[in-house]
Amino acid sequence: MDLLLGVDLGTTACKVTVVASDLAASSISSPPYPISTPHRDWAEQDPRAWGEAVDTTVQYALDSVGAGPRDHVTLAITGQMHSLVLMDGDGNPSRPAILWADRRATAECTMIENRVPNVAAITGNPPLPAFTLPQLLWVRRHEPDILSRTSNVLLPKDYLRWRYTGRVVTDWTDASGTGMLDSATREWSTAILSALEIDPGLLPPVADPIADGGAVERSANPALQTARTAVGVGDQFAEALSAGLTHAGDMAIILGTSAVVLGVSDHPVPGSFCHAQPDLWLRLDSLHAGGKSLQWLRDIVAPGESLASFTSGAMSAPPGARDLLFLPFLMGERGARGGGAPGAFLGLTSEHGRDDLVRAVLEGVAFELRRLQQQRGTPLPTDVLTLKGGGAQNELWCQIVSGVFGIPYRTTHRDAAYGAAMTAGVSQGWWPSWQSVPALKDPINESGLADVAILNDRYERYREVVDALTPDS
Amino acid sequence: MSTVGVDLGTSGVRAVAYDDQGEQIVTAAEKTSLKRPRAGWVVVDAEAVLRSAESLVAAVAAEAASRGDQVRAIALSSQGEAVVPVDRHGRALSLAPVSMDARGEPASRAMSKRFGAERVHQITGQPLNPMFSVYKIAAGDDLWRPPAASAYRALSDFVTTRWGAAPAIDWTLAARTGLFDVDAAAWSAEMMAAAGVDAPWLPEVPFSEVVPCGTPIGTVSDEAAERLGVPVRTALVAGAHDQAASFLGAGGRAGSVSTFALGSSDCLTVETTQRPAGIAGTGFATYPWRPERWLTLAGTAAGGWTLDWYVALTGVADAHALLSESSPEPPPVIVLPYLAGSGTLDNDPTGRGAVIGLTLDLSRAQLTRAFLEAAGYELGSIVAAFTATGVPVGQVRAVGAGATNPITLGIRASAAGVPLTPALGNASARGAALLAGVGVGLFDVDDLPSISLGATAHPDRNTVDWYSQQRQTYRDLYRVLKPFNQRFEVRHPAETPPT
Repeated sequence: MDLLLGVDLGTTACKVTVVASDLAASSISSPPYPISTPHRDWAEQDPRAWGEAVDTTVQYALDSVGAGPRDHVTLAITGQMHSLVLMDGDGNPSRPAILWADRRATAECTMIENRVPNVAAITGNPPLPAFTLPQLLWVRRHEPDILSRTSNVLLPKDYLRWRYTGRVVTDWTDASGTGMLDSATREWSTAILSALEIDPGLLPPVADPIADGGAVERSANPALQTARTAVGVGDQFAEALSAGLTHAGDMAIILGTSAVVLGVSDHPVPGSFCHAQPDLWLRLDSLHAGGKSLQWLRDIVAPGESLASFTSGAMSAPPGARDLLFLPFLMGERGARGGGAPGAFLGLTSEHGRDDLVRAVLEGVAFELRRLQQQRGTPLPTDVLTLKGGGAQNELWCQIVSGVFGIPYRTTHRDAAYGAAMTAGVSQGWWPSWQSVPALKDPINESGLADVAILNDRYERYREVVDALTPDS
Repeated sequence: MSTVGVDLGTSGVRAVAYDDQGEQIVTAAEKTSLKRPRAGWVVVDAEAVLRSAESLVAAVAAEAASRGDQVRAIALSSQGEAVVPVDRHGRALSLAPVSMDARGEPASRAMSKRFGAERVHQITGQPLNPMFSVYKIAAGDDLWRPPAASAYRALSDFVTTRWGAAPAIDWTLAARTGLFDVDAAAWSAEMMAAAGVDAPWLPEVPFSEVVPCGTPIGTVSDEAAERLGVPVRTALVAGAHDQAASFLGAGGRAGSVSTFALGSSDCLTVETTQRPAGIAGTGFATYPWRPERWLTLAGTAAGGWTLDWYVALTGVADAHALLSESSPEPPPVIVLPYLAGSGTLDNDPTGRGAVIGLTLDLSRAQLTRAFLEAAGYELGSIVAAFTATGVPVGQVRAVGAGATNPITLGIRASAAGVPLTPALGNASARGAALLAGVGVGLFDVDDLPSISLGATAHPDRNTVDWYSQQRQTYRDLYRVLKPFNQRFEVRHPAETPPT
């Protein structure tokens, strides 16, 4: 049988999804692997631990569908973006990977902006400590010996694919998150590399995500003996593909620990990255404390209670949470803590109870996502908003988001691992183009639209009060 | 020989007997239950309050007598604003709306249009607010009108007349009806006439005669003496509004000692020798308690309420334990405690609460501390406002249940930038008992016995600069948020769930 194997290397665990030709999917997740924080603000992982987790989980996933040597498996890996993997000439990691969550490379960001003042215009984004380039510059400055032993600078999914195929390559979605890719040409920016004296030979060639990633040559797994790979995409793009974002104007929202608005554009706009399709770009606007805001409130108000039970009462709170507003800036968004609008509950009266506070948090996150979307000019879809992530299992939250945007919603169980499998499918010609990938069949829900008027009114107040509390506004 | 102070509070009644040195002999207390018969109404059964007071006086009188301290005089400290219509025997015709009862809103709005808040404040010394008795009376049904109603009584004169006193009310409680002319120390004909436009029957039903605090108003009748367990002809003396009684009981003194009552609404009470100027536009209330002795009250509409709300939100049963676990370091978060309108400094019913500066690493202990700090910021602002108008506050003595916890008192003191010294005991009941003693010549009103004090909580030296900045930020945040809050519907404190 023909099988698509999608692997998603997350920050805490990996997930593997097997898709059969009838599109039946089965998934399995690995146990969590650790993040080490040798210093405050550092976040690192051992790439070899990823490899072991992926090998084992792939084995379980293939066994679970009875895959064997006679099956044709196509593998595509997606994974955490931005994180820096350095590989020496023997194919061993030169040091632990520096993760996207690492905050050490702040001085390097300043250096990049000084040397390449138009960096944001080239790459689509200003340099952030999360990005690969500042991390690489940090290693060059603080660990020059390690860099001198390094042959290849890789992204996590590319390292994992190299383990199977021995071929060094990346794709333009992941590459656009390094801070070194020219977003318009989809090639490494020679302006950036030369201004910062980066040896282009360290970087992998950039390919189309659906290009052939090579044959699997180094796996003990019998079902992978004849397997092929696709180059694959970064995890946010796999999410976007699994949500069916293949046309300009499509939009999805991921209600995870952080909340992310994914919007598709047909030209490179500020804040965008390269979409899997050559003529599209993807905007990613994140609110760091999305679902985390809810967990935070639970930990303060009702430590130990399950999130589901904690949020269940919010159904009985009225839309608008009795005029209570929540500003979800719990990570000190937009600069250092206190530099932007603060995290806050505003409009409290003694009649507010826990359920109102919970509802206000759900609404506040939705308001901020809308504000991000408006501020960045991300085009809105006309027909449906796709909601994903753990928060999308909360019907009330979905209704609130739908009401705040004034667009019907649907949810989907397809995730980044499924998106990776689809990359493999397009690469193998299961479908001739991204647009012909079978669309989501999940029902479209209009129940959130009843509260559009009141939520719009509250949203306007929210916007004004955020502006008023932003020091530099 | 002893005197008894009876405190008629919103949450309960307490009777305390004191000896002739002002030392407590015995105390007894009972809870009162507030009822909410309909939205916005909050009432108490005055007859039940009377019965409760009688049984508590009987209990402490018996104990005092058994120690050889026969009761010689009784006076009351009472919550203000509550009012009840009575028949010609002084019996309650209706349940008594208390301060939080919101039925007076329409009448207070009408008064504002007709008369203006400034004029009302000028005459009565009190801000224009629906909590005052006059506006509740205007909303009354037929039981509140003649011929059924033969008089209106505050809880204090309702109780004392039933014990045999002449219908008399002290100046401070008279002021809390909203009809007392504080400069003339008499009922205000002008206010009566203005209120009479909406409630034409109001001027026809008399209030009790007004007298200074500590004035003898009669003696216990034979019949009442039996119920109270005190000698016939025990003196009944005009007591005071609870904030005034707390001030006297805790040893307050113009220019040197003020009191900060930690209750449902925190309140700073400051004495002056004349009516203070420069407080127009604030919600400060001022009244004389004796000739040339004025008290000014500045409170937070939701002091203790805000803490109670926070405690209820966390679901922690033991409030004391929760508050005591406050973080020892100041957190980078600010609470505006205006869960039932702003404090009296701003007198802004549209004020709303806020918690600002939330971060993922904020702990519950830090948030708890922030709620306590809010009471301190409010006190700091009020002390600054008094100082700015040339009224010296002096030493501040903390009274009330919240004053005895050194951890929470210390946090408030640091946040306020004001040292707080706890006055030990039941300050309001003690104030009433001292006034009872004044009425029978046991005490000199200018030389009342002093109260025991606890250790002063001083502002932490290491955080003086931090809190000075935080108090400024606190005021700034109120101003920034004010225009947003004003667009919301006002929710009156009466909608506050029972605490």
